[in-house]
Amino acid sequence: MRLARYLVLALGFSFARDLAYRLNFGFGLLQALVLAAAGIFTIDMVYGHVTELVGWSYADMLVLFGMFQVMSGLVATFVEPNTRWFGNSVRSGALDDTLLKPMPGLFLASLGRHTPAGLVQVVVGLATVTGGLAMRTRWPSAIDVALWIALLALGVVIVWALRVSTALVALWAPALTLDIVYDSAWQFTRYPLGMYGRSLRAGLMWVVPLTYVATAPALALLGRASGLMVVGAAGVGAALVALTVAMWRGGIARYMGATS
Amino acid sequence: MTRTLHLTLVFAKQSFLQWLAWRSFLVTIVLEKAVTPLVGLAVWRAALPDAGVVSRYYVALLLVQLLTVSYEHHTLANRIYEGTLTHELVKPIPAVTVFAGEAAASRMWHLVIGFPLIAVLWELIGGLAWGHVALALPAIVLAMITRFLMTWTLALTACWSQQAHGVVGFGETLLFLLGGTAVPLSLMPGALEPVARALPFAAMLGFPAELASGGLGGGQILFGYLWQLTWLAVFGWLARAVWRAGLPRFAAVGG
Repeated sequence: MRLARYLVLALGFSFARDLAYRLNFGFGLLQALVLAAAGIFTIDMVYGHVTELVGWSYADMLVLFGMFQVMSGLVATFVEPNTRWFGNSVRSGALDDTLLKPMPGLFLASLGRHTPAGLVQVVVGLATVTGGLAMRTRWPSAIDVALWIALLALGVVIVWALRVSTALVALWAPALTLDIVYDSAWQFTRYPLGMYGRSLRAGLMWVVPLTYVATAPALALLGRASGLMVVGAAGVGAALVALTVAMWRGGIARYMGATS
Repeated sequence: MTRTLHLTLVFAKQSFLQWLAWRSFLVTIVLEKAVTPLVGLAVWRAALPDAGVVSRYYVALLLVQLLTVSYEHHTLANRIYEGTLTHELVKPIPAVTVFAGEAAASRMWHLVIGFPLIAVLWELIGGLAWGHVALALPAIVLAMITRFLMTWTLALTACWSQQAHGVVGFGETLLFLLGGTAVPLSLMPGALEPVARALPFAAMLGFPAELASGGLGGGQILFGYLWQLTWLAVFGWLARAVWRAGLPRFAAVGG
């Protein structure tokens, strides 16, 4: 409850801070819209040549892309502002500032700062999803929506754990920056896994399980998910959260700070 | 001109050796730049599995992408924001030679690190014809210079705005959409294709890639080179004009 209250307060402060620079804020909004338009343009170009891509229709692909945008927007708003420069804060000792505060360090280090402009991507993503669903002959049922909510929540947990654990590598190898590797892997999730070769598919399902992040919620809305998928996502999420917490505790024990 | 070229090569060598200390970081940024051509390859192979030219095109595009990649929003724009551009301005040399040298060095490293990936894909698709690759070399060199000039010009908006990275990002998005990465130029809708071929983005990516993969006829090659030379001249003039306009606005550290 305390953490949820802090999250809401921090989001409010971030809005107030960003709105003080209205031109920058507007630019961020424009960037989100341009990225969305670029993605839809690409899908349009592909479906100008085919009616189906590995079993996904144009409407299905819009739903998937919309979910990709929703997840990207949530990460950009709540997680990226903290993890992007985590390596620098470890190297410079600025992490001390986070550790000295009377809040759980992992929470502050991963969710303490926000970039509200990222929420535009979430809104645009939901609009894209709605547009895709409207083109289909079948709207999601109540069970589909329930599965979607569960997979969306678990997807958020999984992407948080993956993103944060990637950043926490800096506690062992401060010169190693894996943010860019994660961002690169993330780009593969904007399209269905069936498009990729066997080894890459396996990697995106089992090694870096990003498949649960955008694809699974999209499948729920398309009526192709099941309770088993929720169980799988919950298991993967729990394992990744445990790994992230273990990495944080082990890494902080090694952290020297600014004055040591 | 000879002195400028000589200085650029000196800074390129210096920067190439300095990057040795950042090998692991180089691997990550090469991976980042390779992703969009790889995703494009996967998408279009799935969409058009019988079109071998699409696979050859995207392997060629990967090669061109790694050789034309530009980071002036990190090198030039950040030095403007930090005020450390003065280090280059006080030297009795054209400041652009420093950044051109750094760009050349980073591209060579991209080629070195990306070579194994290109080699694997080359084998998988049955390779590109060496004659086509040789024909594309001048186009690749022109693309390298033009993309440097475009990114340099966009990065100079740092003299006016805090959003230089965003402005360069817009340029990169347009390059992705209209330069032949999101969709090969030959697969664009009929009305869009001639417009895209006339724009600078195709000159920086799609045209050299199509040349290297053997996807163009004689007339298209001639017009492609003409457009490249045109845009090179345009961005050359623009880069100089924006530099002259932006420099008086630059405030160094302590100014």
